[in-house]
Amino acid sequence: MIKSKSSGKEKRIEAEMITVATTRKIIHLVVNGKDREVEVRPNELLVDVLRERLGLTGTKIGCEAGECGACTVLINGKPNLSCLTLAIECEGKNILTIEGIGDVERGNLHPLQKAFVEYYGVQCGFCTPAMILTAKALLEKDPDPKEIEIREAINGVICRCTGYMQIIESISAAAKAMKGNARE
Amino acid sequence: MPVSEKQFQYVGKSIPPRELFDKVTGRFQYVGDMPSELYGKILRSPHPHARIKHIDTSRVEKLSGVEAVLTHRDVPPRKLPRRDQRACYILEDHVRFVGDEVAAVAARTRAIAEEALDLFEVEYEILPPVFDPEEAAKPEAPQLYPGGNVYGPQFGMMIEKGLNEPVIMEWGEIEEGFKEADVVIEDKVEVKPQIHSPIESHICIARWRGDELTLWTATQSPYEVRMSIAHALDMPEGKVRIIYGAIGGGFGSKYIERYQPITVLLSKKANGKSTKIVLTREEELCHASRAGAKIRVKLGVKRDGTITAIYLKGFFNLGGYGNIIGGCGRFGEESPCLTYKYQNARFEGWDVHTNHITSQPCRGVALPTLTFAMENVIDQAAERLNMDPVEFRLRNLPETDTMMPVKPHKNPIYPRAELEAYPAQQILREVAEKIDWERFKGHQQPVFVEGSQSRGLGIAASQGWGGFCIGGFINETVIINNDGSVHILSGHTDLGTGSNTTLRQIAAEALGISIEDVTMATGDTLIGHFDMIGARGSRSMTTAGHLILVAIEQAKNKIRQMAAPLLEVEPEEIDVRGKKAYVKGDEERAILLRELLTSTVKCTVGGDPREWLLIKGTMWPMVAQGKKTRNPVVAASEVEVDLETGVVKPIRIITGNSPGRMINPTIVRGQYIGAAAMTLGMALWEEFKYDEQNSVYEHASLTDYKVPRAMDVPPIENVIIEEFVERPLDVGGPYGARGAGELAGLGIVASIANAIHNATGVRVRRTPMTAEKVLEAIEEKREKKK
Amino acid sequence: MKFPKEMTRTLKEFGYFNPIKIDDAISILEKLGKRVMILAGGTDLLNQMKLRQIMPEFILNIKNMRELDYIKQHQGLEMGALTTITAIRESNLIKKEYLSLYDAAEWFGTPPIRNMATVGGNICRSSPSSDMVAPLMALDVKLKLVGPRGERTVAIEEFVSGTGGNVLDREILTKIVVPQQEKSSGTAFKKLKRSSADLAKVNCAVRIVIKDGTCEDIRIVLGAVADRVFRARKAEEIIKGQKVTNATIEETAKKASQEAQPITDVRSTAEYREQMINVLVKRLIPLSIERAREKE
Repeated sequence: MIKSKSSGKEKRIEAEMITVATTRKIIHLVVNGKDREVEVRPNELLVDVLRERLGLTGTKIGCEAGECGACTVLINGKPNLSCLTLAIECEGKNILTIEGIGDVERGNLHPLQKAFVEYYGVQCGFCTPAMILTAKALLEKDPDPKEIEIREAINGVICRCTGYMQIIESISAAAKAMKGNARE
Repeated sequence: MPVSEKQFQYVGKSIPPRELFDKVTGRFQYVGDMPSELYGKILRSPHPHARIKHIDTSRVEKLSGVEAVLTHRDVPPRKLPRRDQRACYILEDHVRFVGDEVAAVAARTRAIAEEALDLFEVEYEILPPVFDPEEAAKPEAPQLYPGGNVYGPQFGMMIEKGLNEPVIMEWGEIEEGFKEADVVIEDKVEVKPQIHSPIESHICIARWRGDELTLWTATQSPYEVRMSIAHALDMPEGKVRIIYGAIGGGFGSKYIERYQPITVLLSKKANGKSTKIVLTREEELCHASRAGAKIRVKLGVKRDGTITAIYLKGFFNLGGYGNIIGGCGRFGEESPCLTYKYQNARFEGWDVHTNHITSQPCRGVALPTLTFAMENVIDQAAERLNMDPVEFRLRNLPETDTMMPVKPHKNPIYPRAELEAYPAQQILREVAEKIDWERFKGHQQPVFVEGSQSRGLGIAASQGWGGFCIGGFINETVIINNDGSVHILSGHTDLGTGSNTTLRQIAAEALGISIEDVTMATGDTLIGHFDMIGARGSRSMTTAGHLILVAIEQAKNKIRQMAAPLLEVEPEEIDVRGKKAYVKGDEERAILLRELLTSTVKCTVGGDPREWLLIKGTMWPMVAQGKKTRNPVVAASEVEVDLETGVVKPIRIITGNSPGRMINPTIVRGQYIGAAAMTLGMALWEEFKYDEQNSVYEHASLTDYKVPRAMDVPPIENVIIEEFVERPLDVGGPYGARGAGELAGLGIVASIANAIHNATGVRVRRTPMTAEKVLEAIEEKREKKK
Repeated sequence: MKFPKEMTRTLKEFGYFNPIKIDDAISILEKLGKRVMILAGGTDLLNQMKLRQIMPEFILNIKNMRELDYIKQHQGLEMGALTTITAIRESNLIKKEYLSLYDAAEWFGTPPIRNMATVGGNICRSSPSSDMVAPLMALDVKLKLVGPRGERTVAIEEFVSGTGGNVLDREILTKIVVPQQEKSSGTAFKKLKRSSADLAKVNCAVRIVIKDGTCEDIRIVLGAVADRVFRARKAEEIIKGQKVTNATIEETAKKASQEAQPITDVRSTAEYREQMINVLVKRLIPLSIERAREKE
């Protein structure tokens, strides 16, 4: 194939394309129900934007490699690893972090939060935001999960403290409480 | 022994820890959630053993955004005293393992700091390395320290030289014991290092204001950090402020490491700007571990099941910087070696430095390893005698009031005393029942087989320390406010173990007030409440709790003195509960504390050296003269082994413990399950892999270092037998409580190995018991049979 | 610096494209070639970028090309390249007709990884131990590639070229076409791993067409035991056209393990892997047959 020289116009278009690609962009996220606008570089991770730009430090960083799950947030309702997500990819998406669960200002905890406290599904607490968000997504899909289904759902979040039993009990208890409320 | 009939308001109640509310809402602030001006990075050695000949930092310093650079030339000539690793210089020109700290840099952003790391130019003189502790113990091995590579039976925070001697603990005469035996079994096990790997990495932020330092750090032993940094920097301890308490897990990994004083010095060089260092997960997985070990055991038993002798010789790999605490730990401070009534015993521990990863106590320290080594032969003894494993153990387990060891220790530093409140046999029976031990068909007969899936049961016993006042005291101050509410200043560390809440429960109970009336200040060394060794050895709740009760009793005595003339009785006739002082038996004759007190009543406890040395401030504290607090431990496992692939799937784990009296049952249970899950990881999945030829840690990511997940860990159930001695409140463990943090994990590795044996007929003698190892053992056996 | 072999770092800066139309994406690929990497799920790419194993100048995010995210019955099965592993796992159609795909999706990584990772991304990563490539190869799938020179269809076996390489040339994988399966066919996939969430020590996918106890056709695909996912053709030849007996299965399994070139690495040993190929093939052939029977 003969490579023809690119015309001056083509070169300009290419240069423009590259300039646009490398500049910062303003992205619009919906975070915990609120519209947020942030100017980001393409190489900024969602977890860093949440923690450092938006001050939402509830999402944690444990390994930076998508293994420990501590950085889990819900994107359009599904658990995602924010340490492996570019902020710029999330334009227009709905993001839920632990700060968006329950109505803490008014002292109302989500049933999951209440259950994790009561059934001691929390020890050091570092994996807790990820566990609660993951459980929330699970219970929305399956309001009455069996133990094995809970274990499967939380398999993406590593807890070094609890050995998982009390986390599972917390989630089961929350499921019961939420079913009870649903009936009313 | 039945649970006390007293009606308690808080003791025995599962009160949720208060900080849980912040943790479930994401508002709990860990050190990593705080901003800092500068970001630090540490340059680490690529060589296992080397001297730094020359280090050129010129290119680093020229990089825009770099604000401080540190090499071994910049650090003070004083060492960091440390409790469970060797004392060391903050940076040194002698590097002792791959990953050892070489230099550091602080910059305005993480990206710049990372770039700066690449610009250090270091010239190393490569020294020959040694990785195996048995090899390293030989005189011709490459030396890591003056005095040789063997650490020796010495205990202190500034040890300079090795002693080239093993740690020895013995009683009776093992030669006689072996002669008496009808059956003698010899075997050996090997345990790989286990990485603590809390989900939060090591992290700290340092900041100076003038000559005063503040360090925010995730640490289990803040006062040790304070003391160590102050000593190395030759500063008064009062000018070093450690802010702690928000930790994302410790398990023994977070005490004082070099990264903290490195951050401190970087900050100082940068005119005191707040500087943060956080380890990446790779660094986290490669800088310290539970000691790897090779242990040989010889056991002699009589046909009636009596164990006549045991000889255990272990080599513990201290790596570059470990010490006796992370090594054999003086044989687990004696406890696992007292699991059974060995008639004669000799325990020999070689703690040896190598150019391997540094040892650091990890939940249970050497106890799971020692238990595995001993239980391996105990189980074989039962097999050779054709005895049921439970029966054999029952015959040899001590009980309450058994004098242990059965003969006096030869070394007087180990105490001999009666075991107190020690329902080991009952625990073993109940654990066996809970796992349906009657399904056990015989040593080489699986419980059932379906196709290539074979099920087996395994059981193991162990013993742990009681926690009570291990290693020294913690300062506690109880302040009775004018209104009768209570404020406690405490030097302990709550790791997420709920100890803050448990201690408040204890105080509320002792004073008969609402737990809401008990507040606690901890988490800041500014309150000056020294804790000798920090959160470890399952000691926080019992030690702090005991001392709080002592302080409360002293405070009550002061109040009694004040109230006596007003109530017109002798002080001894007065009781202080419910915010009032009243005459015993006649509560109407009372005076409210609010009316009685003209200032706060304050009592501080933690310092009488004579009393402490005798009873409490030793490594093996006794709750009362002649009585030892120890924790009886049992573990049982059911596994399913695929005989064709070797894959071991744990089906069920039962732990058995006696926490004395539980103050907060849910917290205790959480600790038991967590400890068991952790040593289960050590048994089956967590594999430390180090390529000695290429100096590469192959396991250095969570992809390859398999910390157990929810689908790995089976249901873990607990048998909990509360047994304790009723004593006055200020004597012994608080309300009879014993330590819990590590105790349920001690027997897991051993019980899994025994269960694998039941399922397959083979013994796996190395951890982790991966499919490859199990299959190899199965095939070896098949070959032998031919 | 060798310690440790790699450390996660901040991402280097790069340019970012986010087209909605495939033509725009192709135009970018045409102009920038190897300077640009495609971002789908990101679970692999971002990790490699953090470890500085890959440092692209540009990233092309294709997730806004929503027409690439679908599963539909079309003669056989057709999946867009952006189909997530979770979507595969939750598809009733796949669970009914293409069980080996469900098997592979069931234990793929962890739930959040499955929500993010795409089947196209996994195929294009072309890892020698890829979970998706093995069952897809056993199903004889064809891949549709679109590039500056137009469209082409490539069999998946020709797509992977060894040690993480493939034949993509400034092209985007747009869809995966799974041919209609014979009525009497059954599929299975199994992966051996160290713990519940792991890369494969050994991967095996089998598809068998069985009639009256005779193997009419078979595919035996192995992963993680060579420089690419591959068909154990010599093993297939042994049992193809034969009556299925324990003896033929054994012979087939033995041959399959000889065709592989397993290595010892952090996950397992060469010896263990070789043995396990034997075990897996011996188990998956009967399982596939059983599933074929269940379909009837």
